[in-house]
This record gives sequence, C-alpha cells and structure tokens, in this order.
Amino acid sequence: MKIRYKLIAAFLLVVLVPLAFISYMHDAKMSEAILKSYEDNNKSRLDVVQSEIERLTASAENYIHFLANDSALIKASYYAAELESVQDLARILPEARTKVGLSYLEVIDLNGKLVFSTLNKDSPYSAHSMHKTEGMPKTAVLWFNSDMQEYEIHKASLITRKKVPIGYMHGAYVLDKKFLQQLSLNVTVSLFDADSGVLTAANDHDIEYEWGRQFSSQLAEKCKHEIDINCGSDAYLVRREILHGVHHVVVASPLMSLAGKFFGALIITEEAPQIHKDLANARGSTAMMSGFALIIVIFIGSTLAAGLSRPIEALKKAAENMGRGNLDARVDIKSKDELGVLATTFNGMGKALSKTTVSKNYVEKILASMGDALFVLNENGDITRVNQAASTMLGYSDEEFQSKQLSDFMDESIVDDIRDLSADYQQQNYSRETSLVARDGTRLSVYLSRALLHDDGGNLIGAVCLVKDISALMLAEATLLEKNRELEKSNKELDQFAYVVSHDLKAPLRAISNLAQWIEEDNEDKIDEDSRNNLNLMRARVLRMEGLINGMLEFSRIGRVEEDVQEVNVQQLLGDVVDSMPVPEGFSISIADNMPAVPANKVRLSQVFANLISNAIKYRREEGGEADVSVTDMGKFYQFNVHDNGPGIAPADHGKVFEIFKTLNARDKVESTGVGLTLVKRIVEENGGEIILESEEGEGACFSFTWPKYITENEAA
Amino acid sequence: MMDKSVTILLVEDDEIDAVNVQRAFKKVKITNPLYRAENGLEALAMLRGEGVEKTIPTPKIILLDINMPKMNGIEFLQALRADPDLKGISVVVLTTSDEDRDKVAAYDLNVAGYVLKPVQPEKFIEAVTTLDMYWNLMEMP
Repeated sequence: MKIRYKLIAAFLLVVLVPLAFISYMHDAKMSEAILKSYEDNNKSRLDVVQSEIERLTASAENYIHFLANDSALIKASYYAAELESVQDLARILPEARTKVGLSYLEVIDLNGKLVFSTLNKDSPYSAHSMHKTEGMPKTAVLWFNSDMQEYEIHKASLITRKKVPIGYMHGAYVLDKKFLQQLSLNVTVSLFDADSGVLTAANDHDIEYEWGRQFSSQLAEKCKHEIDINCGSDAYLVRREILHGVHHVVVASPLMSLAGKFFGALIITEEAPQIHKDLANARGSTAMMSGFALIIVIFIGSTLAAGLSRPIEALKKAAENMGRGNLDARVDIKSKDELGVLATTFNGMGKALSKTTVSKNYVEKILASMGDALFVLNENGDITRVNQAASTMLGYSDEEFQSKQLSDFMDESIVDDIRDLSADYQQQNYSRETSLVARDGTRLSVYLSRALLHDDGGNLIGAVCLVKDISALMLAEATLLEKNRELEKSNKELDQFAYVVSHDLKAPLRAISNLAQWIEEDNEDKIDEDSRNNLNLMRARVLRMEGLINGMLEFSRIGRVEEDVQEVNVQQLLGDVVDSMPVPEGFSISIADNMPAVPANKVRLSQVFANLISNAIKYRREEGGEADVSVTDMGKFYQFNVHDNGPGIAPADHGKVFEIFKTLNARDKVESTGVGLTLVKRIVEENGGEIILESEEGEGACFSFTWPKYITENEAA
Repeated sequence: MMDKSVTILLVEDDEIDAVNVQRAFKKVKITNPLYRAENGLEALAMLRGEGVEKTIPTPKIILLDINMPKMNGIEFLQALRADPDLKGISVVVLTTSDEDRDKVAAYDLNVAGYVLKPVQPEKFIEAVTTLDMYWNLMEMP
C-alpha cells in the first residue's frame, strides 16, 4: 500500500475514533436532555393536577363549613323555618349542593343515621359514607374509599341556633374520569388506588398500561415507609418505557389526604413519538457535523500526505532508476526536513557511486563496441547473453541466441571442455584454436578463450567466452606457408638445376680433355711446338672449368643435401686441416689452444677453416707470412677469427669477396675459382652464424665467423 | 696378370668414354676381351642371350656407368643381382655421379668399387692401373 494512503488512513483513524465517541456521547446527552424535558413537562402537569386537587379539597371544605355554619343560604332557611331537625334541612340542601358544585352532599344525625343524601339510595357512596361518619373529626377530611372512585369527603357538624348539635353534614368532589378530562391535558392521566393498586380513574379509559399498576404499588411501598418525609405531593417517581417501539415517559406522584395520608397514585403517561423525531434531528445534525469534519479531515490529510509522499515518491523513482544502473539519477528535494537531508545524502551517494562504479551503460557500450564475439554462460553452461560481434560473426540475432546451445555452432569436444566448470578447471583459463559454424554453414577459424566468472563471495557463477575470428590470419598463414614451400621447392630446384647442369657440363669437358690428349698422343711426331703448347693451354682451361664446375657442385650440395651433425673438437679439426694443407716455406700458422667443441658437420667446418687458411696462404706477403686462428666466447656463439698479415682488402671490395666466381686478382696470376669464400659464407649462414671481414688495404685481413654453441630446434629438424 | 679367359663387359652410353676405357686398357696392357653394351637393357640381353648372341664365356667383371638411357646403372644392378645366373658377377661402377644416393644404392647391390671418372686423362690412366692391380690381386671363381 502506498505510504500516502497509509498516512490518510492513520489520519482518519486519529480523527474518526474521537469523532465517533463524541457523536455517541453527544447523542446520549441529547436524548437524555430531551427525555428530561419531557419528564419536567409532565412533572409540571402533575403539579397542575395536584394543585387542582388541592384547590378542590380546600374549596370543598370551605363549602361544607360555609353550609354548616356560615352559609347564608342554610342560615336563611334555618332561621326562616325554625329548623329544629336535619329533616328540615334536607329540603333545601339539593339546591345548595347544585350551587357549590359538590359531587354530593349528605346529612347524618347524631345517631349516625343518614337522614338526607343527594345521592340515590342505591348509590354506592351512601352506605359507606354513613359508616365512615363514626368518630369523624369535626373538621373536614379528605376521605378515600378503596372500593370507590377517589373522592373528597368533607364533613361538618350541624348545630342549631341554640347551640344544640343535631348531626353532621358532609359532601365531596369525586375524582373521576370527568374530573380528569376537565384538566384538558394532552397526556394520559390515571389514578390508582393506594391499597389495591387498582386503576380508579383515567382520562382515557381505552388505555391501561400494565406498568401503571406496578408503578403505583412501588409508589405505595415507597410512601408507606417515607410518609411525610419524601412523599409529599412534590415527590416524583419517573420511569421510561418503550412500548410497541414508542417511547413513553411515565411520571407519578402520590395523592395525599388533608390528613397527610397517602391514598392513591397519580400517574401521567406520555406517548412521545416526538422523541424519535427530535433524536433523529439531533443525530442528523451530529452526522452532518461529522461528515463535514470528515471532509475537512480527508482534505487536510490528503494534502499533508501528498506533501509527505511526493518527495518519498521522487526518492523511490530515483532509487529505482539507479537500481536499473543509471547512476546519474538524482532527486530534487529542497525541503530542510529529514526528507531533504535524505535526498541530499542520496544524491551524494549517487555521485560517489558513479565516480567509483563502472555503470552498466558503460559496460554495455564496451561490449557492443568489442570486435571479438563474447558469450556469457551461466553455471550450467547455457548461453545467457552475447554481444553485437557474436551476432555479426554467426548470423544469429540476440533473440535466436536465447534458444541456442553452444553445441549448435561448436564442436562437441570443445563444448564439453568449455562447459566443464569442475574443480580441475576452476583455477585455469582455457584457450585454443577451433572453428565455429555460422548460420549459413560457413566454417570460421577462431581463437577461443574461456575465463571463469565468480561472484564477490568467490562462488562460481558461470564463464565468459571470447571468440576471435582468425580466418583471415589463418588464410594469411596458410598462404605464407604455401609461399615458403614454393620458395623452398624453387631453391631446391635451383640447387638441383645447378647440380645437373654442372654434372652434365663435366661430360663434354672430359671428352674435350680426352680428345686433346689423344690428338697429342696419336700425332706426337706430326704436331709442332706451337700446337702442342695450344693443346696444353686448352687442357689447362678445361681444368679451370672443371674447378668452377666442382665449386658450383659443392655450393649447390650445401643447400641440397642433409648433413650429419655431431660434436666436433675444433682444436683437433684445425690440426687436421693444417696438416693436410701444403704450407709454403717461411709461412707460419698459429692456432690458439683454447678451441672449443661445437656441434657441426665435420667436413663443412673443415671446409670453412681450410678455405680461410688457404686464402691467407694464397694471398701472403713475400716474406714472413703469418696466419693465426683464435676464438672468442660470445655467449650463445663462438666467434672464430682467422687473421693474416697479407696485403689486405680494400673496404670497397669487402662485399665482392663473398660473391660467387668473383676474384680480385686475374686468374692467371693466382689460380682461384672464386667459389671458396662464397662456400664459406653459405656454410656459416646455413649453420646459423655469420661471417665478417675486417681489413684495410696493406693491413692484413681478419675473417671472423660465428658458430652456435647449441643446435637450435629448426636446424635439428 | 689377370687370367686372360676372364672377359670384361663395359656398359657405357658415351662413345668417347668408351674409347677412353679401351685406350686406357691398351695403355695399361689389359688384354682381356672387352665387350661393350650401350645401356642396361642391352647389357642384360648380351648376358642372357636374349635377341642377341650371348656373350660366352659370361663376363666375370662389369664396368658400369650410372647415367644411361633406357635402363640406368642402378636399375641394371638390381636386375643383375635378382638373376641367379648373373648375381655373382663383380661390378665396378665407373661414373661421373658424385651423388651419395647413387653410391649407397650401388654398394647396397654389392659393387666391388665405385670410381669417379676424372676429367684429366692422366688421372684416368692411374685409376685403370689401380683397377688392374686390384683384379690381379683378386681370385676369380
């Protein structure tokens, strides 16, 4: 749930609960007040009834006394007729009763005999009224007969002028339905007998409430014990009843006789449907107030919540944005509260992160711009992502790669190696040349390397395969190899050609030599000296040509023939070379005694030394010619030096001495084929060394050549 | 002196070289009968009497050139050694070929010698003289 709604909900809870409580309390108070006002109204009504009864009581007493003693009417009648007995009185009393409005009037003689009554003899009042006169006080009393309706009995002694008592007179107002109806109260008024609790009168006889009887007996009970104390006519009992869903307010007060005796209960029952209306009105206004308050609360709550939640929303969005890898996400909150501080902190964090972290976007760009194909595998060896170069290389789209396995374009054996992320491979990266099959079936030569991926905890989570297309490189290499082979073949052919040519040249040469010989032999006595000389010259030229051809043969043989290589003791080899060489008298050859042993073909190395030493002899000074052979350790090589004190060679001619068939002197002067140094150079270079000439004209010459100490792989092969 | 009944077969395609041998024999005074075939096939035919008259008695020594048309010296040697009647003949190679391959092949086929033809006539005479001494020393079956 959004924080905004939570805030509003909390706000509502805080406001609504007290509001509901207040409404409830208010409602209770209101109904209490309304009921109270009903009760008060009815108490007033009771008071009205009570005071009316009191007034009637007083009035009845006055009338009785007036009739008995002071009534002009009675006096007039009395005097006029010289009344001596109550019988006389009876004649005039009905008139008197009508005038004073008593319900009835009776006269009783001293013997207690009813002598006159305005009531019929059958009247229920008669017998009782007579009976009750006995022992009556002289003053009027309010009498209550439990069998009858309420009424007031007022009694007065009747006395003659001569002060002779002749009897009693009494009359009463009856508190009957008629009386109650005369009060014109819009409520039900009922009277209950104190002793029996029976309803004696009501202004509406159709209504008799059950609780009226109970209520009056409660009142009777109460007044029996609390007579004269709290049971005056202003003492009330109040109760509220709901009958048939209608509120009834019931108020009761005791009826007290003049003598202060409780004789009945006066009960007012008000049906009060109005209460509902009043209560409904009161509740309606409360509800309206509450509703209004609620709207205000929601409005204020929403505004407050929005004010709170807007910056939180902004923060959330920025955080989500950053979560997706956009480290440049910032949030703009200027408030100075905690949210403002949070926003500032967040922005600071983002700045720090983007400074120290390579953003995803940046990595994406690097991947996309990579020229080599990249495959990322999960720990099961499935492809999880590829870069642009991979799509271009194999012709599958990103989506198509989702459903591809490595084995779809890679040899099974390689796939097994790559997917094997087991312990053996944990520490090592794997790389090799292989080939991939593109979508269109093309086979690409590639260099594949696989590195394992670990998470921060060092757990293996997959691998990254980098694939470089080396088709072009392979093609170039193949072309190079092919060219190399061709070159080698052509060199071999050249050597072969040189060999065949020189071999085949030798046959006719030999024939010429033979024929010249035979001509000379067969015509010994016929040819002259000149011809003989010419034939000799011819044979000498044939010899020179043979030398040239042999040199060429030798030269071609070096590159043409595989030669046996073994450890050669150079000291011994030099000794043999010098021994087999014709050294002219006066020429000295010195050989250093620290000559090493080197891997070489004995014949070839001999040829090198023999050629260099014989050159030193051939080109010697007239007297005191010298040649010395020394060696220098150069690390991987030995450098052998053959130094002479001959005429030397001008630096300009240094290059020429190594060219085949080149001689610096005319051949007739010094017999030379011009092959020797070329041969030496070729032997040295074939064995991985090089030859240098250091010489100035007239300063002697030094030929130095290097020779490897060990056989390298290439030469061994 | 070598037994005069021993006949020698020269297998040589080059006319001058053949004459050279004849002259050298004459000079060194080797008088044994010398037959000549121009190539391996011709030599085999003469030895076996196939199509030509058989050389009788069968030569006990053959002077063999290597580079020849039709059947060269090595091929001839192979055929010779494979033939039970001829395999015992002593063969001396007389050639211009300085090839190791030829030398190894020749010795594998049990030649009695491998001589390079020198260019200078005097050197050739020396070689033939040496051969003559060698043959004199050897006992022939």
